[in-house]
Amino acid sequence: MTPRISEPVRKKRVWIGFIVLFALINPWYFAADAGSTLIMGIPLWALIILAASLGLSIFITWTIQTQWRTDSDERYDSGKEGGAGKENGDEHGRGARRDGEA
Amino acid sequence: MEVELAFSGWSGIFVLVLYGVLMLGVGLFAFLRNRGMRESLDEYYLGGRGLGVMVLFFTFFATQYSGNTVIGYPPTAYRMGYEYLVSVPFFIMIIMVYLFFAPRLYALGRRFSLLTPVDWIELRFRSKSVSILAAILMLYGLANYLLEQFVAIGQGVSGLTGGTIPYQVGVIFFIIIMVAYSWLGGMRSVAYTDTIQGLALLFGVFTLLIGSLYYFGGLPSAAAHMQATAPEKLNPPDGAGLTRWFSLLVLVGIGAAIYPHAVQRIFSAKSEATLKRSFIRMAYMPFLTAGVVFMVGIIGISAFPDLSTAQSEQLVGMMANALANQNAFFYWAMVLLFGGVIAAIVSTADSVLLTFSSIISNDLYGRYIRPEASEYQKVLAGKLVGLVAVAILIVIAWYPPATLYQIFVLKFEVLIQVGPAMILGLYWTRLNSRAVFAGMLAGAALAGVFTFMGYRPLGVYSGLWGLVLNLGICVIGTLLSGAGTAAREHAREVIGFRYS
Repeated sequence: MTPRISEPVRKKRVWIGFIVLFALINPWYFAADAGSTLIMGIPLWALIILAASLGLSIFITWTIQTQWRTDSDERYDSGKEGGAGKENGDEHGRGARRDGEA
Repeated sequence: MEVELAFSGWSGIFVLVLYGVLMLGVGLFAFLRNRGMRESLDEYYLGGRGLGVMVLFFTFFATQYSGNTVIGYPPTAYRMGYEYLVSVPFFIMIIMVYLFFAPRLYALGRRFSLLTPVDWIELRFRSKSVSILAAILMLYGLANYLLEQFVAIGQGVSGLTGGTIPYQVGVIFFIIIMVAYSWLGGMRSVAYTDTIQGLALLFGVFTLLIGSLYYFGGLPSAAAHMQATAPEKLNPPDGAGLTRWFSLLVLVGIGAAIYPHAVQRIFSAKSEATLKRSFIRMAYMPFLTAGVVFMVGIIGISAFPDLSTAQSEQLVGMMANALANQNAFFYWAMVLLFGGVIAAIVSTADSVLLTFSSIISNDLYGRYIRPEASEYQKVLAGKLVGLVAVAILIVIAWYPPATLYQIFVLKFEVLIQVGPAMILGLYWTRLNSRAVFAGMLAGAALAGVFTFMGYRPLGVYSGLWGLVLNLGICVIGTLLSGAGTAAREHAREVIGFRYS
């Protein structure tokens, strides 16, 4: 069973993914004259950087969807509608704060 | 970033007035829909923690992309060539950095009803000195940020209307509109207007790109021009360029993610699912915004060759002028583009002002000056102090001081110094509040001194040097003498994911 709470910052695979992708979005691995290879008027190296950037966006999507899970939504009623007539924000956990300070 | 658009005098005024009326209407709508709102801090500053995916997404979008993205980035791409492609991944980096703290901060925000970033720092360290220092640094950085937006509004308006509306009138008009809708609807107004402003901006940049591709020739002709005149603009960056690329990724990624108004938006999400979906969309926006304006700048290289640095700053204005002369569609599209640019500046300014007021309301007035005040009084105090700050900033914007001008330049350099307390504090229970205080103070001082002296060792920005010192003091100070048992117990209680 998957653990109930999961944070990206505690996942090794997330760190590895980010480090690898960060390395790939820095253009250190091209020859100095790589700009002479063009595809539809765009240097090939720039397209590779863009592809790596898209890879980062996709990895971020994967991380958000699978590695980030807390029970906030179950604990705090997330379906509430605009606060017409609400006296103060106390219903949603403000009580916990006040207890802590007392 | 003043851009003269001689073609759009009265039509510019028409669009700006229309835009002002629309924003006021949005404020009124938010006010009428949520009449009980002004009574509580949560409602006013966080939209009752009820922002849905679409609105939350656009409000993140509006805080990250400002008018400068459209006006300032193409000239930079024009001068640097493909090295400025870095503007695409650095916006993605912001979302990556969010993932290292937003999941936990959102959960804690819900659990403890956090309202501002300072609220979190106070909860975590229970130290008056750390909280007040963090509040002061944030207010100072935010005020300067606001000042910059005001100057940009004035220049944008006078540029768009070809000087028909003078700089001062433009600033006053938009500040009155902005304050009015913010007061009427708080965070809801700001977020709704952000949505409209974001859509206007997106429409404008896409039209600019399509027009440029159609009338000025595409990327192949730009590449041919660069090959003939400046082949280095096509090549990947060399040693120094690579360092610049790397430090921009780090600096923008960390910096923009921990801007106080960016952090506060995490608290206003309706649910974790909402926040996640907004982040996922944000991860792809750099291609549609930074990527698009980058292409516009590259096309400019062959369309308007051999501009000096000062001339190239006007690039977007020149392209818009040329497109507007083609036909009625592009004429109005370009008027809308510049309306969108000003909208984007206003939408950045309103977010900054709201966060500024919330720190006054909640963290200074509400915590130390009059804790017994009602929420209504706290909100009112934030509004009024915000108004006074705006008035002072307008005076500064009109009469820039001849000396010590740099005091008003420090923004990001100072704001980033709150990062270690905010992020390390989320995970490290041993973190010692005295080390945090010393690090924050020393980091801000170092960044300030380096900026005043124009000193940039190794070509790395002063803010980053301050951050390195700040982090060093936090980490070494804590390793030498960790937080006491009681403080650690409290930290564990606060940051642990135990909800019992």
